[in-house]
Amino acid sequence: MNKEYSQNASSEVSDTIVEEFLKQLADAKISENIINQLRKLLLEERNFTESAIKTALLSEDQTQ
Amino acid sequence: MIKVDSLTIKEFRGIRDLTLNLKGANFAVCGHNGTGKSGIVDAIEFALTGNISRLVGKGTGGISLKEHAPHVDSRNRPDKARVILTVFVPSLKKNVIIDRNVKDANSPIITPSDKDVLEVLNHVSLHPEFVLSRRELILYVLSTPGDRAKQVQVLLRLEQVEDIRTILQKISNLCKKELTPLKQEKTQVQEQLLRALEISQLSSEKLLEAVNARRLLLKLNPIETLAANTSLKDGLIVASGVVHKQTIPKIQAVADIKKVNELIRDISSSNTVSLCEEIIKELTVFNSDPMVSKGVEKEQFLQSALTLIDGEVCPVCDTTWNPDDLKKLITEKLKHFEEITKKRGIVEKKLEPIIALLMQFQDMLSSIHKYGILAIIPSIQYIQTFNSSIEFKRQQLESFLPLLKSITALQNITVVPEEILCAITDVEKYVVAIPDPTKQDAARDYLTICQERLETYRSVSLRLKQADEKATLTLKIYETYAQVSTKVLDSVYKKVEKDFSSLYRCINSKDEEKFEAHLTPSIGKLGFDVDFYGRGFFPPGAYHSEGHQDSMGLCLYLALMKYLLGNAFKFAVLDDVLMSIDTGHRREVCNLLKTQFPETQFILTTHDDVWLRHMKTVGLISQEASIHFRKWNVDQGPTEWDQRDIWKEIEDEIQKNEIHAASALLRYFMEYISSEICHRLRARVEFRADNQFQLGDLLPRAISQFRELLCEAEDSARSWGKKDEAEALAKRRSEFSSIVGQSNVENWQINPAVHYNEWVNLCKEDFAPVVEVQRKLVESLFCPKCKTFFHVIPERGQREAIKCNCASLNANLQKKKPKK
Repeated sequence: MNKEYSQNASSEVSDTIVEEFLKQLADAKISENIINQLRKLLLEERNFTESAIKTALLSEDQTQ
Repeated sequence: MIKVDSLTIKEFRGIRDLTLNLKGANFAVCGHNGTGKSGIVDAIEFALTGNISRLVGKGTGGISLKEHAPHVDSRNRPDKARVILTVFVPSLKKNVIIDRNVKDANSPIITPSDKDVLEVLNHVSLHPEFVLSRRELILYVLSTPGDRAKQVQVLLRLEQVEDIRTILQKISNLCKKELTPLKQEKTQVQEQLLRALEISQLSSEKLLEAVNARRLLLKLNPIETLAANTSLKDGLIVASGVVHKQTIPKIQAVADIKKVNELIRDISSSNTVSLCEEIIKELTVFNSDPMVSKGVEKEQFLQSALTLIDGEVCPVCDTTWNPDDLKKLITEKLKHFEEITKKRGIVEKKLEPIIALLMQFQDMLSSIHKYGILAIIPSIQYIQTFNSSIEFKRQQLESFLPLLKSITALQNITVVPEEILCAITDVEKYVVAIPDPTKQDAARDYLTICQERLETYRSVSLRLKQADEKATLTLKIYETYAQVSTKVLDSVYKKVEKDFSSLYRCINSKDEEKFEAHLTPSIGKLGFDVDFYGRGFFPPGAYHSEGHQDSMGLCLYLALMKYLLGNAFKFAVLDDVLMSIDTGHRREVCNLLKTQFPETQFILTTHDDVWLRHMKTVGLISQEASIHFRKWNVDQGPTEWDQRDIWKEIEDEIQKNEIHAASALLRYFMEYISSEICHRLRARVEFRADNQFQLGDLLPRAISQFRELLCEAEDSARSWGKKDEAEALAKRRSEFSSIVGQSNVENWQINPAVHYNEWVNLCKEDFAPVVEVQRKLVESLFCPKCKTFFHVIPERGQREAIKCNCASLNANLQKKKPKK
């Protein structure tokens, strides 16, 4: 990315929020699997659809 | 970011063929409404993004880029509608040409198409906010906090922050909603278990006490502790050694029959009857108003559609959409049904106890049916049919729609048919007639039924626990995201708030030097309060004037852009913004743009000539960095005040003997040109607050000023001993006087017959010489080489020289001071 607009690039604000959010989830002892799935969706795949996020949160085997 | 060097527009919107040389500097486009200014803004946006915001979004139904971006006469040739933009990319030090036509709007020809160039242009295309119109500017200032947050987040490209928050909240709410029916079910199965256990309160101690008493009768070991997998009938079959034929457990059956009779009394009670009547009445009102009944259906349809959007295809018609646009559209539509949603919620709340009662009734009828089958009672078939009809009615009430079916379902729901009552009585008679079981048999039945119901209770409890865990988890995740995003956005807005206040103070330093503002983000909202002369913080629209609100909008936009792009904020188009700002503050706005954003190229459009002049006077734009449209027509597009065109147009009108049109054109052009000359020569014109200067107010002052300046320059040249220069200036003054004499301008006030008002009454032969002499007069105020007006420098303060751009005329106005 061009250095000129790497400062304050808008997506960085959103990503900063997501990074901090995931860190706080880890501190709150939320399942590592959920955190990893959210990281993959929100930061890597940039998939912000409801169904994908819902699957990431609720697909864990609750009986475990 | 980029800077625009030149712009060529062909067959696009209202423009046929136009080229502007912006040279990477600030540039202004001036013209009254309908002269084609917005076409330029559209063209720049199109060249950079492949889109025109004004042609998409709310209120643009039926309008499309492909069909309506080309000039109306080229609407079938979108390939002819082209915009060619030459830009400079400061960070790469490269000149780039973007050539985009409407037919291939998404495939511009970019030269050079280097990777780094494409990366920069891609970045620009993601920022259509480089264009600011007054409509958007007002949205920043006067919106509700919710709408403002959306506007600002769109500008800061933070929509996804809000999207994620909304999705997490929705998931959390859905999980919470799932708890209610499960809790109802658990209460129901718990009641059944308690009835079977013959205890009033569910606790391990009470349960084991009751169960162990029966086990003792059967000589089974007592159960010491109740674990998750403990079987109450543990050892029962082994101990008896035989498999029993299934019989009716008399004690339990009696309890169940008692319960079903209680439920029948509840269903038929006056309370339930009046509640049903009340709901039927409300549903009938809903149903009788087509607006409401259709509204309820549409609302449900849209709600379903919203949950089903999961890709780029509409879940209803398979049309390809941008998912965000589709969601936005549906959400907007849903707003119309808010009142209906509220009314529906009230009725649904009233339906809840009826539905719960029906569920219990169904459950008990199932038990009675089971006993009836074992007892081989013929009338039992009615119970099964009746139970199915209760199930159907309950499901209908849960669905709510269609309304008519819900009304029908509620009618007679409180009446239990005679044959059902008879069937229950038959079962009851049969059960009562069963000989009382031995204590051992009763204990065996007891343990079997209690175990069955305990298992059901355990299963429902587990489902409720899992649902509760999901609800707790999703709420925690939502709250964490909301907290983190609010904190991060708070720091972003603190910075923007500081810059905004500082920029606003630059414009209003004289009267609001202590101005402060508060941007207060909360979940999904952005509060905006501004200081009003130290009297407190209020919304911008509360006390500040429209002009102040306009400047607040601009300052907030600039502060946000500064945050968003930092040093890369190199380019912005301000489309007729700040029209409400008064003269004094306009100068400050120009100063602000010039001093605070020296590296940013602003392209400004305005319909106000005076605004344009302020930009030039303050030096925001240079004298030549503007275009002034005089009119627009569908055949030619915008036409600027260009001398070559004007004299030709007037000549054409005269040839057609259209003296009225020719004289009007001459007068308007002379008014425009006189205004410019007065400005350039710093002529003194009688002040008019309405700014409506006529030709008679301007041209005589322009002429006398030019003559005085030539005199002054001649005196100056003589004082410096420049005899040749003085003589040249004298000659120029004499020639100018001769042309002025022929024009009769100086006789306008004393001889009405030669006044410009009379031009319209002249015949073709008399008017042609008038035009010729006016043309010579205008030309004598222009440099024939560089085609620029003669002008005085500097624009303010003591006059130093009169010159043209190429310095063909460059005469000193300051005399040599005599030696003391």
